[in-house]
Amino acid sequence: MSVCIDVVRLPHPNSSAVGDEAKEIQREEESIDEEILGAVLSGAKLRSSLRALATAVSERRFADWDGYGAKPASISAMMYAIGLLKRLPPEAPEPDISIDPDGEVALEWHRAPRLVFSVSVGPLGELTYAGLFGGSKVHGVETHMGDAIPRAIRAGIQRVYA
Amino acid sequence: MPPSSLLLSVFVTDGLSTTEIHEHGERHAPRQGEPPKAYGVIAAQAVLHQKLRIDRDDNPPLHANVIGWPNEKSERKSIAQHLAAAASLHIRP
Repeated sequence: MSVCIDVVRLPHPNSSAVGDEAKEIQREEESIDEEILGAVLSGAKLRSSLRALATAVSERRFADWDGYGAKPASISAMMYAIGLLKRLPPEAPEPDISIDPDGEVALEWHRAPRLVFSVSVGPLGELTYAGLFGGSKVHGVETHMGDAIPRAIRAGIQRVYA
Repeated sequence: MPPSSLLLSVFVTDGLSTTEIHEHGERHAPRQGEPPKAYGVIAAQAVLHQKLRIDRDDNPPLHANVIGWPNEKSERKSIAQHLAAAASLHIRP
């Protein structure tokens, strides 16, 4: 038996499916739809983040942009930040993006004043992070991103939205 | 986050009304000829609680620098998050 799954049909209202096999097919359809929807949203999120990154770097590309001797946004840091954004888990919300006074790119996830996690991406790819989670806090540096986001960074993002 | 000099410029605004603070900022802290769009208020106690110090120089009037920031950037980020959580934002009407 062959089944044609209409993966772009969203949602699945009032399915008339009966029987175990039909229900299994419906569950598979819904699962595939969620996957595709997740990928589409994730792609849109990444494009939005990349636009925000480009804007931030463009607006802070000159020295002393803060009037207090700030360094221009680092292009190298921007490239590493792109790598980090691409590696974010699909469920991670879009971060706020800004430039630090030392030219590093800062990504911040913020849910409340005392529920925030921020990562500064340096020109050599180093990740300086700090998080405030109610009464507890974390901070530190990860010196190498590699192919995956360091565990401390991933955990920090997750704690904001736990 | 403090600037690269690690001197965070602030004004001591005890006893000033919101309008007076906006006027003071307009007079003494313009950016490219424009008045500040907003200001943040934080209790001195919250600053001191982070083991920072307030160095008042009154240049310009009521001016001070928040000093004593740690060398490690991750610590500075953490302190900045605490200060931001304790601060309130006042946008210029």
